[in-house]
Amino acid sequence: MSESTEKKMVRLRSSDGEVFEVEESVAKVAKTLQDMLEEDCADAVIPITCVRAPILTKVIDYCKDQVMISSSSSTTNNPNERTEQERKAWGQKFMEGVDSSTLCELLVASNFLNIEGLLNLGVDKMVSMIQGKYPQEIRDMFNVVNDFTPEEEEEIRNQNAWAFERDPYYKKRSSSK
Amino acid sequence: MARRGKQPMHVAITDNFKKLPNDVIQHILSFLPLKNAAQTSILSKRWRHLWKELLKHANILEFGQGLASTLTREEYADYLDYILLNHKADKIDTFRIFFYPGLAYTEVARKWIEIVTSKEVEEIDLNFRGNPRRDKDQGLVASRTLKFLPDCFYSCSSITSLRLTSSAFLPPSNFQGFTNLRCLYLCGVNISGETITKIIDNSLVLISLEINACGPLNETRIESNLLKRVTLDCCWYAMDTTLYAPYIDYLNFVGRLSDMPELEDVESLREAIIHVMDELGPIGGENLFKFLKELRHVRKLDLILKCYPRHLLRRAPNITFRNLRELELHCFISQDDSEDIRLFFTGCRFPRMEKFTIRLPSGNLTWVSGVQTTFIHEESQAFLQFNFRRLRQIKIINFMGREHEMQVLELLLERSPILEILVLEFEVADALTEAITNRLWSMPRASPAAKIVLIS
Repeated sequence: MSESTEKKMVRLRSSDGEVFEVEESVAKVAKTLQDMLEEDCADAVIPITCVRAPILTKVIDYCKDQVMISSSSSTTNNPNERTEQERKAWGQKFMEGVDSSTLCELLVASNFLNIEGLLNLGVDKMVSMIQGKYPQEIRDMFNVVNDFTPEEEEEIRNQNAWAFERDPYYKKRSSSK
Repeated sequence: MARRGKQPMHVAITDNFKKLPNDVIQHILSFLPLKNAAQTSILSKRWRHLWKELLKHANILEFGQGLASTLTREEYADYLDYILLNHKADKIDTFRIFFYPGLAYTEVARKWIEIVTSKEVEEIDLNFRGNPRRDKDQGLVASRTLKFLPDCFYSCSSITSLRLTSSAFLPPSNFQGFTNLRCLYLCGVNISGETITKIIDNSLVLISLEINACGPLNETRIESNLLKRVTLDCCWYAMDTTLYAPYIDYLNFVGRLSDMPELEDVESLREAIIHVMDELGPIGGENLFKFLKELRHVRKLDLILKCYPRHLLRRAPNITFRNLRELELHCFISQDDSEDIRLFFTGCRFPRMEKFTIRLPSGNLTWVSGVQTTFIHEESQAFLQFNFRRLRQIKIINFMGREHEMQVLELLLERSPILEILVLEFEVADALTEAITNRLWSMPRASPAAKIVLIS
């Protein structure tokens, strides 16, 4: 497919039908795509069935950045190279403003495409969002529907009572008669 | 049907986690504290068992007082059983329990200890005092837990930190100590001085030793080139203890004079907290002076005495604490005069002291002020001749403004030429009267710039 350009291009189709053309090196950041490309099915459009276009855009942004920082890493004095601190700050900025549903989609995408760095960023973000939250807060944040009956929920609470008691002087099972 | 969710039914709700595979969720949960992760069990049916995977691999297993206070003994035991029997990892880094086994759970608890010691546990904290609020059959803890710990515990060489509370430490005859032990804390443990000596002698890395209400410790020999911190707190039958620790940094002794360890080569000591619990008799005083003499290199000293052995004045110790920067005395001004403190400074010199704190006894509200007893002993002349040349900060806690307290204050202010700040903490707001403030401001001060701060 490449006529005059030296760089080989790869086409990806999101679940909602949008096609993205990216350099092969960018696509190869995703281990899943790397495996596919090495098995030589580069000519076709690769369907990414579980990732919507806006999410895929974000994923591609991430991959492009990875290519940029690693492209010249073999040469000395790479201006794009980052210290540990800078990497952290960049990751935070990248995940800034990502809402709960986008975050879950990003996790699905990075898991499916096997992009470890992005998955770690997502997991960190997720942990910071749910740590120390009450179950109801987590449900509200991520639209988790509580499919327990009140009786079932109470039963599970009692089974794991140690996890739900915050105040040591809280009377256990005071809510149930 | 009426779901419990608050959203109206016409809004399309999609569960954000819907497409996320279980293993990703479990990966996320593995970064949460166990308690937090377990709370996700009630999010929805899907989440009910997801967190449990964590239990199998956790290597920090802490079931401390917080947990114990929310469960009955039976529930606590069931829960621990459940976790330990399902635990899959080969290694446990930390294990902490707070549980009174009594007779009913002795075997169960021994089993737990067998499991964790077989997994190369490093930090182990076994508190068998249990929760007094829940357990009625308490009391004979020490005697009931005799012979309690299994032999595999005593041969567990992976232990680096051992905390043991309300138990008996009776190792088998082939006990070899714990080679990798760095920190030892014993509280309310029936242990012999000989066993402690054995533990100290056999560890290659022991740096911290804290023994609290243990015994009978007769003839304990604490001899180590590694020890940095030593606490001997209310141990029983602790006579003839010797402490030889050339690299010691911190020493805390609480107990009777007769149980004071004999100190040898402790010049590296920087901080000491000494609390003598008995009244100082004619013999005790000598012991105290001998002990204080060994502490003369410290930078920081907290001394808690009921009174200063003034009857020994003619043989005053004459100790100079060359390095001391901070001194704290508790209860040093007795009820009716300020003589103790004068005598103390006659016998002990602190040429480099910068910070001086007196903590007076609290809760003495019925004392009637106005009784004035001033006596300057001839022997105190030595005291009259020196100044607190480096003293920058004085603090008196539970100050009541009584006459003898004022006298002490006067003395200090007169002799501290570079004093920067004097802090008086009143125990009750009422004690801060106008008469006191007036007198305070009129006191002659060697350092006119010194600030006086009154806190009530």
